[in-house]
Amino acid sequence: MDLSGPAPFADTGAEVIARTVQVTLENHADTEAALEIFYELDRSVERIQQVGASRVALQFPDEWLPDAARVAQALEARLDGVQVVILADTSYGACCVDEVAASHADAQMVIHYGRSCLSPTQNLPVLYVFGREEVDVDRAASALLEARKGLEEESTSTCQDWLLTGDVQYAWALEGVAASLRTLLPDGANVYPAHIPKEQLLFPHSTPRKDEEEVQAPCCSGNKEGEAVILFLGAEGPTLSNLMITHGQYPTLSYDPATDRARKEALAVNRTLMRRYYLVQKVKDADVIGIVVGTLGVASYMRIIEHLKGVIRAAGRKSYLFVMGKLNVAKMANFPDVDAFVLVACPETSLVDSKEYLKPIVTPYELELALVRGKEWTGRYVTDFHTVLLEAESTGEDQDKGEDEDDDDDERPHFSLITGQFKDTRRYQSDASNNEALVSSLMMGSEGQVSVRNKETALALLSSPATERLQAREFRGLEQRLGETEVADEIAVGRKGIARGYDHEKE
Amino acid sequence: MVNFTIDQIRSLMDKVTNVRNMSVIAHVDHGKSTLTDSLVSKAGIISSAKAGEARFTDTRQDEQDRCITIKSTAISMFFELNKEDLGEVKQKTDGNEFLINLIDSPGHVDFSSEVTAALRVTDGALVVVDCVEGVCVQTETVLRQALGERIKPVIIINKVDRALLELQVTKEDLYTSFQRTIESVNVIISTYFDKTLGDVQVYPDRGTVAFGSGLHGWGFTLRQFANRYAKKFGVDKEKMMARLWGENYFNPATRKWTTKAEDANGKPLERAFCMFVLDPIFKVFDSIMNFKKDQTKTMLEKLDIVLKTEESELEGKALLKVVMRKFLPAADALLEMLVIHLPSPVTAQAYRVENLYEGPQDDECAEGIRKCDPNAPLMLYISKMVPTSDKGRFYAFGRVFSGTVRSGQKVRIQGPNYLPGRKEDLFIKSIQRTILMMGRYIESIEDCPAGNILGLVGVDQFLLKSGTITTSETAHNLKVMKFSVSPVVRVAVEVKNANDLPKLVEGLKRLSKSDPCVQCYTSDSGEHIVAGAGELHLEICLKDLEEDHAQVPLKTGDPVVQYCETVQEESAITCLSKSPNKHNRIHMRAQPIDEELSKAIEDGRVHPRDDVKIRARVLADEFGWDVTDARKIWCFGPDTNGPNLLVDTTKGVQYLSEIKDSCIAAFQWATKEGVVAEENMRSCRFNVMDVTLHADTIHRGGGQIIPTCRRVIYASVLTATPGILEPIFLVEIQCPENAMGGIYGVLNRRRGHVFHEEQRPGTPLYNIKAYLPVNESFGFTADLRSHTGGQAFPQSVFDHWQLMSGNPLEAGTKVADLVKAVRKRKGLAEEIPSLDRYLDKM
Repeated sequence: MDLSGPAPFADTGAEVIARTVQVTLENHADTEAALEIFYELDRSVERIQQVGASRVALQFPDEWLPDAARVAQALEARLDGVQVVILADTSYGACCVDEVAASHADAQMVIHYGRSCLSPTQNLPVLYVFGREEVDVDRAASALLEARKGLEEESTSTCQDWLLTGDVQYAWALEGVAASLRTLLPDGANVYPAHIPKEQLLFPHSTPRKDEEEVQAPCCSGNKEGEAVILFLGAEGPTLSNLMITHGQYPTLSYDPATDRARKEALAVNRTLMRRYYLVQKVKDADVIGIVVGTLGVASYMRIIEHLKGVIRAAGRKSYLFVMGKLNVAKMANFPDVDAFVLVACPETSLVDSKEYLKPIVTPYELELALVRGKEWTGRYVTDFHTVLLEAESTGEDQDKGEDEDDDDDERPHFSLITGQFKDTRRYQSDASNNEALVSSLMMGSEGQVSVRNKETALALLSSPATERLQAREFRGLEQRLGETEVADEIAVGRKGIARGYDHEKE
Repeated sequence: MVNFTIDQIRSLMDKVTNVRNMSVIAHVDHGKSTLTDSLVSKAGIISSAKAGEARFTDTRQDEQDRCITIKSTAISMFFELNKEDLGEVKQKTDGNEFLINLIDSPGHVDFSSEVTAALRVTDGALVVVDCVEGVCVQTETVLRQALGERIKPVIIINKVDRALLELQVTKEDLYTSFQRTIESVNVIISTYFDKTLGDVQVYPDRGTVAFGSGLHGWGFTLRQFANRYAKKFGVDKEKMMARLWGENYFNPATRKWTTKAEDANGKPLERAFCMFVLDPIFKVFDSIMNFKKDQTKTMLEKLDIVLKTEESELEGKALLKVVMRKFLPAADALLEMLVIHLPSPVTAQAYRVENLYEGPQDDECAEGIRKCDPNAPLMLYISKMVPTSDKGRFYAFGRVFSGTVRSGQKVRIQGPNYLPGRKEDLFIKSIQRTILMMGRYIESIEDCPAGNILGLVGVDQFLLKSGTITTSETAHNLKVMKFSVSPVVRVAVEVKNANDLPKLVEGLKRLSKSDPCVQCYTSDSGEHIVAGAGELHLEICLKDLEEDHAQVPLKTGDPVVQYCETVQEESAITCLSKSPNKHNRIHMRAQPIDEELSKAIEDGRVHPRDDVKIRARVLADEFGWDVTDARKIWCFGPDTNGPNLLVDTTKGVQYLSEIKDSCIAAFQWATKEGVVAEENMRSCRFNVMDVTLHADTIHRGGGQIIPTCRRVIYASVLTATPGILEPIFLVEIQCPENAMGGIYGVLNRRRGHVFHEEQRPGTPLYNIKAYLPVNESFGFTADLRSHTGGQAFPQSVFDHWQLMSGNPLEAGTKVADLVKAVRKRKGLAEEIPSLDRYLDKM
C-alpha cells in the first residue's frame, strides 16, 4: 500500500476480509444425495413455488457456509426464473431470520438453515431447514425412561405427564420418540410432543407462536404445577437453557443423540437465575439505561422498544437507544456512562452472560422487574419479550394510574441490594417548563443579578444525566494551554502512516 | 427519680451550658448497665405522666436473657450541684441545675459500632473499668474511639466490693491495683494525645477518677473525702485532694504531712489514701461482714449514718449495701464528677468542630457549631436509627450541633454520599415531629436547640443509617462515623418459601437501618448476604431479621469469610496488553503497598478527596513515596476509596488525560473483582509505565481502553506473585491459670497463636492475647467454653489482614486449594485464568 499520500483515516478493510474466523466447519453433505436430504431441497422447492417468490434469500449459519454455494446452485437448477441469494454474516444471532439483509437483497422469501429460535418474523415468509440429525428413536425413548428412574428415586411424585421437545434438528423425530415412549410407559401416562413449526408462510403474524408455549399448554390445563416432566432431545445449548430457565419448576430430562447419553438436567439453573436476580438489582440502581437493539427480525421489536422507553421514562430514568449489531465487550465499553443495558433480542440470544462486560445486560422482562413498581422477582422467568409486551398491554391501564401516586413516595430512595445503601431514585425531567425555570435561575444570581457561572455547579443544576456524567469526568475535552506548551526549536519530521503500524514501526 | 413535666425538661435544654452529653463505655461485663441503673434510679428524669412504669434500660427481651447490652439507650438525668461547688466547674455555667444525657452502650466488641454512634452525639465519656480485671481490649478500643472523636474521658473503677470481699486484698495492694489501672488508662490516653483536646489523662487527685461499686450503689471520688477532711485539717480542699493520692503520708505522731514512706525513725508510714480513704471503708466492711455489731454501731455514729428501723435489722451483705449507699452514695459522687469535669456542648463543640465538619472551618455552619449557636443554621447529625413500635418505621436519633430544629421545619437531608453543589443523596423534606427519647419513652417537643440529643420522626425514609440534616444550602456534611469493627463475617440467607422474597428484601433494608454496622447486600452470584462484626453480632442480626424485620422463615448458610487478593512482589516483567483493535497499548507493573499505608487509607487518614499536594507530602514523608509519583495517583479503588492505587508513572504520553477516566473505570472494576478469586484486592499499587495510543480519538475510546486496562491489571497481578489475605481476629481471653491448657489447645487447633500472656497482678487471672484467623473462629466461643469448663470468655475483634503463605498459582498449596474452593462456591471455573489471556506480546 502506498502511504506517501495523505494518510488514510482507516485502513482499506482488507484485514477484515483476511481475518480468520473461529468456526468449526461441519461437513454434512459430501454427495449430492446427502445434500438433498440434509438441506431438504425438495421441500424447499415446493414451498418456494407455493409462495411464488422470484427472489429467495438463503441464510446459513457460519458452520454451514461452505455448502451454501452448492445448495444455491441446486435450488437454482430446479427452479426456473427464481434468483437465489446467499446471506452471510448476519448482524445479530444466527438463530434469527435476518429480514433486513434479505430485504436489501430484495428477496420475497427467506430460507433459514440451521439452529433457529423460531421467533416470528415481521413480514417475510420463512422456511426453516433445521438440518436433519440422525437419532435412534427407540434408543432415545428407552434412555429417557432410564433417566426417569433416577428422577423417581429422588422424588416420590408419580408423574404422568410427559412433555417432549428438543433441539430443532431433532424436530422430525419428536413424534417418533413420543410414539415409542407411549408403548414403553404404563397406562395413563400422557406424552405430548411439542409442535415445532417448520415454516412461517403466513403473514403478517398477529399472534406470536412458540414451541414452549405449546409445551406448557397441557401441563397447565390438566395438572397441578410441578407434576409434569420435560423431556428434551438434544445437547446442552441455548435452547435447553432457555427452556429450563423459563420452566424451572419442572424436572427436566435430556437425551443427547450425539453422545447417546441421557441425564437429569439439574444444571445451574438456580445459579443462573440467581445471577440474573443480581443483575436485576443492578438495574434498579441504574440511572441511565441503554436499550440495545439485538434484532431487526423478530416481530414487534419496535413495539417492545417503545414500551421499554416508556417504562424507563416512567421510572424517572434516562434511556438511550443503541443499534450496534452483534454485541461485544469493546463495543459496549464505549459507553461507560450508561449504567445498564437492556437487550431486545430473540429469546435464545437474550440471555447474555455479562460477566466480561463492564455494565450488566438484561432482558426486557428483567428491566420490568427492576423498574415497574409492584413487580417482584418470584422465580418465574420470561425470556420472550412478546410475553412481556402482552402482559404489559393487559395491565397497561392500571399502571398509568399507579404513576400518579403521591410525589413523596416517588422520591423516596430505595434500598440498594448492591451497595447495601440507600440509592436515591433520580428523576430526569424532560418537560420544558422545568428547563425554562432552570435557565432563568442560571441567568439570574440570587440577588437578581447576572452571576458569574460557576464551573463546578452550573452544570449540575441542569438535571440531565449527560451533564452530570460529564461533570464527574476527569477529562472534559481539550484544554488550550496557551503558552504552557513547550515549542520545539526546530521542526522535525513526524510519524507517518496509520496507528496500527506507523511506517517506522514496520520491520 | 425526678418527676418533671415536659416543659420543665424543655426549659433545661435551653440552658445549654448546663447540659452534659455523655456516654458510658467499657469492656463487656465491667458493669456499665448496673452502674447506669444506680444513676438513673437516683436522678433519671421521667415525665410525670409516665412515672411508675417499668424500668428504663431493658428495652429488649434478649438483652435481659443474655445479660448483655446490645443496643445503646439514652437516658436523661437531672442533677443539682451544691451551690458552693459551682466554682469547681471550670467552664461557663448558668445556675446549678444540670441536665445530663447519658447513653449506655454495649460492651461486647461485636456491638462496638453502637458505641461509635453513641460517642458521636456525646462530649464526654464515663469509662468503667473493672477493679479486678483491669483495662481490657474493649476498654482500649472504646477509649481510643472516644479520643478520636475528641470525647473527654473520666473513669470509674468499678466492682471495688469484689476486691474487698472476694480477693481480701490489703489496703496498700488495693492502692497499687488502682494506680496500675489508672496508669494503663493514662498510657492509652497519652498514646492518642490530641493537641487541641489537651491533656485529658485522668488523675484521682483532680477528681477525674471515681471508685465504687455499681452493684452496691456506692462510689466516691477523692473530692468527697477531701470535703470531709479539709475542715478537720483546716486546709484548702484542693490541697487536701492532692494529698489523698500518691506518695503522700501522714505521720499521726507528729501530725505532719510528708512525702516519704518512713518517719524519722525509719518506721513505715501508712499512705494517706489508705489511711483516710480506704481505712474507713475497710473498717465498715470488716465490722459488718464479720458481724462485729458493736463496732458497727460506733462506726455508723462516727460516719453520721442513720438507719431506718427495718434497715438496722439487716445483716451481712444486705446491711453492708445499705450502709455503704448512705455513706458514699454513688450517684452523687458520679454526677458531681460528670458535671464538674465533663465539657458542656458549648465548651466541647469549640474544639470538636474541626473533627465534626467536613467543610471549610470558617463558613456559617462551622461557626454555628463552634459556638453551639441556637440561632445559626441548623446542623444536626443522625447517628443511628431506633425502631419504633410501628413496624418498619424508625426514629432518627441524633444531636443538634448548631441552630434549632423544629417540628414541621423544612430541611435538607444529606446522606453520606452528598457533595455540596450536587443533588445526589439530597432530599428537601419537612420534619414531621421532634421528640425527646428517654429510654423507651417518647415525648413530643416543639423544638430543640443546639447541644441537645433528640429523635426525629419522618426522616427515616431518606437516610439509611446516618446523615446530616441542615437548613443551609451551602452546608457540607458532618463527618461520617468511622467504625472500629468491620463486618468480616458473612452469611447467606434465603427464604424457605420463595414467595416471601419481597419480605426478605424489606427485612434486609430494615435490618441495615437498625444496626449501624451490619451490611446487607446481594453477592454477584445473587445470594443475599448479611455481614456482621462477629458471630454474636451476626446471630443477633439474623434473629432480628427473622423475627422482627422480615417475619418470614429463613434459611441460613454457613458463615463465609471474605478474603482479599494482593501481590507479594513487584511484577517480574512490565506487562503489556493491547486493545481489541491492536492500536493501543498499555504497559503496567504491580507492586505491593506498605501495610501502614493500606491501613491509613482504610482509616481515612489518607483520603482520595485530600488535596493532592498535601497528600503527596504525607506519602513522601510518612510512607517513603517518591513525591512525583505520589502526586500522580490517579485513583483509589475499589469503590474509589479502597487501599489500592493506580499511579501514572509515564512520561510525555500524548492524550493520556483522555484515557484517564477509562483507566479509572477499569481499575475500579479490576480491584473489585480480582483475577485470582474475584475477591476485592488490597494493598496493590499499579504503575502505568507507558501507554501507546491511537492518534484518532475514535480508536482510543472507552471500548478499547477499559477492557485493555483491566487485562493489563490482571496480567501485572499474575506476574507479581499474587497472594491471598485472610482476616485475623485479635482475641483477648481472661481466665484462671488452670484453664490455660485448654485455651492453648483450642487456639492451636484453630491456627491461632498467642502473642501476649500476662498475669493480672494481685489476681489469679491471666490475660491472653492471640491472633486467630476469622475463618477458624466459627464456634470458637463454644469450643473454648467446653474446653475450659466455662471459665474462659473470648472477645474477638477484627484486627488485620494477614498474608497466607504460598502462591495461589502453584497447585497443591493450601492457598491454591482455598482459591479453588472460593471459585467453586462462586460458580467460576475452578482454575485461575492463565496469564496468556491477559498478557500480549509486543
